[in-house]
Amino acid sequence: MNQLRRARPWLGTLVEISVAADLDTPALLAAVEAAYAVIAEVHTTMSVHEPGSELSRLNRGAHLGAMPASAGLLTILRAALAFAEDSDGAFDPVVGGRLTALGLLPASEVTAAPQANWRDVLIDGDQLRFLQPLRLDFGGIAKGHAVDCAIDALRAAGIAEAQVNAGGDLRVFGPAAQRIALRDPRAPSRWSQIVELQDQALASSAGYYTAGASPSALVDPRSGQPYAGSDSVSVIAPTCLAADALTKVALFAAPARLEALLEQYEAQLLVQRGAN
Amino acid sequence: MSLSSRIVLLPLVALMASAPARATVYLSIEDAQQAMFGASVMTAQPLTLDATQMKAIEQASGVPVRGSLLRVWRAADGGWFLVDAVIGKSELISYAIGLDADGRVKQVEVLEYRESHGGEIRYPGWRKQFVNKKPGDELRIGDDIQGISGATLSCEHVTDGIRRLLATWALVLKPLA
Repeated sequence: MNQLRRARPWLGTLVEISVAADLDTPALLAAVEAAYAVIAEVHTTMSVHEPGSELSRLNRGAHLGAMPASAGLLTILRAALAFAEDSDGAFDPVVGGRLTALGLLPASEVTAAPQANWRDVLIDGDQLRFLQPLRLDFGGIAKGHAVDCAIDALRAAGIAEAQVNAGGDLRVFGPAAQRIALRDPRAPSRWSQIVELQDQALASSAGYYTAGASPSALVDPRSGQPYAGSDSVSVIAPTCLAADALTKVALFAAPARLEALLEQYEAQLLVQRGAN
Repeated sequence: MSLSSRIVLLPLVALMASAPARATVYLSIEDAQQAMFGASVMTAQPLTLDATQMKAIEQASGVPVRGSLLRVWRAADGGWFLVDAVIGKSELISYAIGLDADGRVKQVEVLEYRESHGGEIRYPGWRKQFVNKKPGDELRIGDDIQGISGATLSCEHVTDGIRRLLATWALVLKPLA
């Protein structure tokens, strides 16, 4: 089997793609390029940091009247709204207003109402409308979604075995299980546990990198309170989108909601205590 | 948090004296050049920035310039290839950027990612820490891990580095062309 491994900066982090297949190197490279192309597409469509992105355009205008949205954006928005509903707002893509108020996102032209939530987002066909000024942010789900899209692209290109890892949110496929280490929340440059994955995704959330400019700020969408705990949560799920979203649900949701969602998404939550 | 069968509280393990190093080499400089410029002839053109240039690049990019040495290649088609390194929270990343003759970014590739302090992996009894293991699975001590999951590490220092190199092109390389 021929192998290839690349890493490029996307989605505010480094995205690493590893592939193996009985293909020649140009074919492996073409597959990897196709995967990075869909990641770039997610980045440019969904970035709340890029004023020119489709998401930023909607955030500026959808409270004034219905605006058309692309199929790609609506797919991730529907998934995000479902997680918001099912977690009773413990995960909420409307968290952008909270993050802006905390200085975790750059200011925008439209000031989002701090109490706005997922119920203020209406989808009608391909049209999107906000009931009040708000700021959608897919930071809690876009990396997972991009990883899933990249995995689909690699499969379509005939890759036999792969891993796509967007700064810790990852998904694998192939005939053999892959061993993934979990960072130790007490000393994040070290790892403390090994998880074996096969055709599965894994995402983690913890507070240890959020002091700086983290691409994944951890804030309870309902209270606006940043996650202050020292635990690290990791979720294993069939898709990286679900794993990514469920790590935020794990941090902020009521236990019954969390357990129901883990069941619904056939997911498993691993908790590492950050303090003895 | 109540525990159901879908929630596993992982046992704490002792922190070992030696941190496991993670170093991944993705591409050599030559391979990155070929990926970006094909068979085009690349001519090394190393440069040393003077204090005035460093100051100007800092002002234009808003990013500190810590080194005066530039690792630059000129492509036969007028493009540029630069190799740079940035240091993050605990990691050293060397990367290459390809620019076309007009200074537009063709491609960015990480060449090498090195984390932690370079110690050997010493993890006695690590099999006991293995979770999610299926019956019958055998893990050999010393088997490499194939990935790391954790809180998202920002790559802001890489994007800052790219901004600094683009300012370097505009102020130093473009006038050479």
